[in-house]
Amino acid sequence: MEKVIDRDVLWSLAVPALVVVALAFALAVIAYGADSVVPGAHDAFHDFRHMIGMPCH
Amino acid sequence: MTNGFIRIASAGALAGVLWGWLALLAGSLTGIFMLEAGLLESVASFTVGGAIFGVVAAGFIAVGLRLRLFRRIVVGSIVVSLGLWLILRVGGAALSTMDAGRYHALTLETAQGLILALCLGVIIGFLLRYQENNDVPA
Repeated sequence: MEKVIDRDVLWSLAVPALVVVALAFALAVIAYGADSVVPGAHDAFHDFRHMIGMPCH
Repeated sequence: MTNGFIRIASAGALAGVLWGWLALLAGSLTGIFMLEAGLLESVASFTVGGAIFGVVAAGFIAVGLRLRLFRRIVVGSIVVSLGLWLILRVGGAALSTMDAGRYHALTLETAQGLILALCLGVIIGFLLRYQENNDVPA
């Protein structure tokens, strides 16, 4: 049977992709101050969010 | 690709940190938004936030370069950074319409954010171009 997932492919494509997706999720949490996802995210990045022009209260 | 990714992500993180400090400085100078946290806390949050923004932007730039979506790295970086900021801002606008009491959009802050996103693209673009020209190892 043909080997579908190569370890090199996994390291070279999947891992970087997963890192970027995870950080993109973190960025969304920061940008929207999603306390429901990460408690304290709103207060911790409140000034940063305002400074980069994201809506906040 | 992994080495290439580490190289691009490093440039993105460095650019993001510099950009975070630039945002802090620009915000303090323009006075569009007065900082509510202390300086140390602000430096920490802008450093972390900037680094994350930078790595995510750099990741999408890497994809764009791999797919040959743009030829000039600086122009591509600016387009990606502005696009990323715009996507986040559109999401913010959607949240604002759903919960206006929680999410207020301010025009001056939005304009400042747009200009800063442009700056992020310029910083990442020039760092990547420097790496490319000087063949910086991963």
